[in-house]
Amino acid sequence: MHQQLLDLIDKAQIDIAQCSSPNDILNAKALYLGKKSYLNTLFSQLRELSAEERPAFGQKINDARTKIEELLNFKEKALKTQNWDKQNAGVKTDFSMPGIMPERGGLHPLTIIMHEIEDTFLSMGFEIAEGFDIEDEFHNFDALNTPKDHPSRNLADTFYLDNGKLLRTQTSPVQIRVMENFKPPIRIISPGRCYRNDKPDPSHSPVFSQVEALVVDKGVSLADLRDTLQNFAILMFGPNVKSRIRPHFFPFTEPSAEIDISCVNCGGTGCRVCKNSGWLEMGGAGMVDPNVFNIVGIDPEIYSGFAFGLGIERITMLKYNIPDMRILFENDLRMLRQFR
Amino acid sequence: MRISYNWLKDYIPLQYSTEEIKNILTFSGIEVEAVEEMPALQDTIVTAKILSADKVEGSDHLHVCQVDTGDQVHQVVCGAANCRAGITCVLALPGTRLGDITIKAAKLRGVASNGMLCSERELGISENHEGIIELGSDIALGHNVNDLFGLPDTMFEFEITPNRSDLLGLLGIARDLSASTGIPVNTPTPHFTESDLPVSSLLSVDIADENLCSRYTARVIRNVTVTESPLWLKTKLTKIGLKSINNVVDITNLVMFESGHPLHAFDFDLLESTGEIKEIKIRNANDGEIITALDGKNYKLDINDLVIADGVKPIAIAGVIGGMNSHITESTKNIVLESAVFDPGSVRRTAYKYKLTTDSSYRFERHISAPSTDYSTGRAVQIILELAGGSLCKGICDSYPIPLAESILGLRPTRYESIIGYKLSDETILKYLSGLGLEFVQYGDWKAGNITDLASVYCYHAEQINLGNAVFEEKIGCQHTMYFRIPHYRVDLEREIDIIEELARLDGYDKVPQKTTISLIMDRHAYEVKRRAKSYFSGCGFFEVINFSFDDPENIALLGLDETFQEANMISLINPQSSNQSVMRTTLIPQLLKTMQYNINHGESNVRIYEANKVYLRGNDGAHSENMRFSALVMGKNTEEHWLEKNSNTGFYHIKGIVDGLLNTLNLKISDVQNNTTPYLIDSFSVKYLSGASEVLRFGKLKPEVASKFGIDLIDLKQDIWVIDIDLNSVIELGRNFERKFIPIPKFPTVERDISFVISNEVPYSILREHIMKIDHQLICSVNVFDEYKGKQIPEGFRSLSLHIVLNDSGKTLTIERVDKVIDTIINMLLEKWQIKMR
Repeated sequence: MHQQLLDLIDKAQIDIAQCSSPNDILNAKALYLGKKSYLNTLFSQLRELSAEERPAFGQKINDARTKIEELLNFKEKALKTQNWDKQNAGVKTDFSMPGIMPERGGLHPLTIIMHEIEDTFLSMGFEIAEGFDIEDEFHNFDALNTPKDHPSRNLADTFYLDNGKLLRTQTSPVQIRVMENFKPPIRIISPGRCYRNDKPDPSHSPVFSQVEALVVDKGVSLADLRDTLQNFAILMFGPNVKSRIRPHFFPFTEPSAEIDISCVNCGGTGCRVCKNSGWLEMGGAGMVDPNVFNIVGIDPEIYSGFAFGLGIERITMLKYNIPDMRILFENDLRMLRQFR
Repeated sequence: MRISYNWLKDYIPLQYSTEEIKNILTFSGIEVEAVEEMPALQDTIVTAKILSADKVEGSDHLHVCQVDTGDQVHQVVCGAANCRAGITCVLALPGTRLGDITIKAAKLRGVASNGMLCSERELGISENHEGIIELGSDIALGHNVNDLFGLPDTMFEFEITPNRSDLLGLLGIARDLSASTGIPVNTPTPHFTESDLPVSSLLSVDIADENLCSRYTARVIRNVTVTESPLWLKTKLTKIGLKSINNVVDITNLVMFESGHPLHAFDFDLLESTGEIKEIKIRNANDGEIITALDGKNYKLDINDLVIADGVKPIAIAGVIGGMNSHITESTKNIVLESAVFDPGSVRRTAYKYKLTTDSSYRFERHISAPSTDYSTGRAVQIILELAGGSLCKGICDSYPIPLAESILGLRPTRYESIIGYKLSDETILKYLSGLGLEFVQYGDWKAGNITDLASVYCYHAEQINLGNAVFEEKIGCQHTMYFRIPHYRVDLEREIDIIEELARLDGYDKVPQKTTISLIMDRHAYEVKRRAKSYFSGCGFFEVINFSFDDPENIALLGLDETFQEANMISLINPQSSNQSVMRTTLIPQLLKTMQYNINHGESNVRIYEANKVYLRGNDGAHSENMRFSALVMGKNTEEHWLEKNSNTGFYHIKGIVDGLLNTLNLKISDVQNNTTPYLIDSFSVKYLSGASEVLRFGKLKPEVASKFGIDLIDLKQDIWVIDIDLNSVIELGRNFERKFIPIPKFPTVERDISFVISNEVPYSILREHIMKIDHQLICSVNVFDEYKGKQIPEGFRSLSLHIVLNDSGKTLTIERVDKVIDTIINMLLEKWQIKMR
């Protein structure tokens, strides 16, 4: 009987090897392990054996059964794998059809630039301070050393409100409010909306955004201003950009300057964007006027500081090559989709 | 390193409490890792002499002893192996508390016992519990034992940084404490007399490689009596965790812990020689050379190991451990006392190779200075002569091929200020540095590095100061510098900056002024919320739009909002550019609708837009408020159109999901959700979220008639517009103090169950869910609806809900029985409360 079992395993091995479908496997299973299988009949013969022989032979039958089961399982897995491979190999994929993108919208380009500027300054150890859009004359003009009869106070330049206040013409009032409430050292930027009574045109808008930087500490000099500006220019426009300051006049800074960066379009050789000057005007700057310090109660003999302001719309237009400021406020999805 | 406070006080008379000394040490850079108080023992613990010790019948180890406390004899039963008549020991009388136990008069094996003879562990002075304490025979009986054991005491465990080898002895620590507290150090002065016999007639020392052993000194003492150490010495070592061996070995350990310099003693007579006199050679081991060390183990050495050898064989692994073949025993008569300096790298490699870290290797690895052998030898000789007697040979075998050069370093007080941030006066500098053992040499001009020629730094300033002139004309060109001679044991002081560190440490880092560069002006939380909200909405397919702050009052009126937002509360411009830009906006929605209309007119059918910006409201007496709002509009499909998959129209639950997702992103939980009436929204699709009484946000479906006023014909477009309007200020404030906290991942598997039932439409899901969660907050982790069905087979006014319930026990695996019980409770509750029908 031992030999019969060995023969059975051999035969099963050959049959199982020839199986080529799940159905074949089922048939082989029935044939070798089913109710009417030879193995099962052997089991029923067990009781004819003596009590001594029975366990050993029973064990042999079980071993044979396990062996055949293993063969069947192995073959079944192999067939499934084969089938899987065939299915995947048979597929023709048009790789040029569009993929399914997850839903995504986007930030307004002005916000993208504002975030970049904020992050740039945060990385330089600045804090962000925000203030009011609706300001009083003191914070917007008087505290900034603006003469009572200065033309910027005109109705033609500044929006006035029916509650006796006005819409800030620059974010500088935030600087005043910070200096009123915090002791130096101060290292802030104040991003936000500003308002000037300009008719909308390609380079003007009555509502626009600015970011101003203010640093007040012992020993702050114009050299620090130049350093911060140059770092900012490099972080925003790349390692090759140059910055310079030119003498100018603002009531709240002394000395005052205008900030230029080398033209990001032509690199300084002169083009349409920079009107062939090689330089782009970015904003105003200067050392905080001692009068401003006196107004907010900071001793100008102990502390000094610099401030500068930049126009966000102008930087956005430069970076993205947007020709007309009004495009930024139309909110046309065909424009917005380009920035997601 | 473990030290005893009482022992430390031998060298510096400190009066500080444990807490105070801990602080002083910590802030001078010696980290105290652990403190262990050893309290005074009660007066009922006394010295006593065992007069007799007889076996207790029926016990193999108990003795019944008659113990004499001077005025009285007590019967005590003792089980210690070393219990015997004639020894003086420590007796705890009945009533004594030792740790958690109280000694009582008792009977052991029927024998009365009136007290306990104590081991060191029982008294709390060491971990030793091998037998009862044996005191010397000259101890007076019946006395309190606190003085004998130096109690009370405090044990400190120090972490000594690897650069400070000078702190590996109590004298070093005392010196450091002296520098910070100003209390002077009592350094013992070694004194002894030598005999006429020159050591050179007995012993020679030879260093093979001065790179591996920079100095080797040996002294010979003859006719010593090696015996047990006196109690005071034993106690000192016992307390710091060392085992007492014999007086000579104990003295070498004592001096090591005092000076920080390891010593070793050899039995002179066991040294073998090839010549006339005994020899000690410091050489590399021969490959395969074997030494049996004092730990009883054999070490097979190689050429990279440095050994101390006699004329024939190695007698110690240099700087690591001594050899059995030459160690001091009670039969030793003549000794060789070694004090040497070995190369730190060599010692470290050997100790690492054989996993053999000893008190000695630990110190040599950290670089010990060659001149410190002088003190340690002298001190050990003195104490050996005192305790073990004998006669000291004249002179010292000293092999010191390249004597350590003197080191003089400059310190610029101005440099201290620029590195540390504040000024120290010359006097303060002198005070601290002389405390550390640095000797002031002179003033001078600045020169970096070790100064060998003092004349080269002499300058006008030095001249003036040395002349005693405090005020003199400033002369440009020289930097005010103080020059100090560095004591040999401060091997870590090599540059000016090292001295600056010492000064800063001793004056206290708390004296360093805190500079401010950031004034905390920024509201970082608000910044974060704004950024997150925007990026979340972008991720949901929304585009940010930016509109002017001005609006047309008539546009705003079209929304039919309550009077807060109406013209009376609007702030008007005195000089507007046009009538449709004449007021400050009180809501962002009209302009968003205008933007929507603009884009529909340009052919867009799926529009998701938002604006996050300020609105402006008039206050009383010229005041006003500017509030951040976040408003969004949705029209069209839920996802972008695509060739592969069909997309559905955006519905109420999509919008609710967007809103809930935002709150989730911002860590906010708002459960008060109410149906509300918003003039421009359809009542049945209008919801507001409240926190307390105040509204956080609202959303809903726009009324078509409102849309048409903005030029959008929803009926014609077959579209809905959904409006979300969020009070961003209140969102910012609600989340201001939230801190995310990790919840441990369940250790045991979770069990999931689904139940389906029919319930009245009147029962809100949130109430249902809340009641289920309430059944067992510990076990029920989550309840989620995964199906709602109305229609066939479900009566009018009812719905079928299918819930997915997840259970977990953080303490153990859930059994089916427990899960069934919870689910049954849930079902019974639902049946009772809402008469549900199970499906």
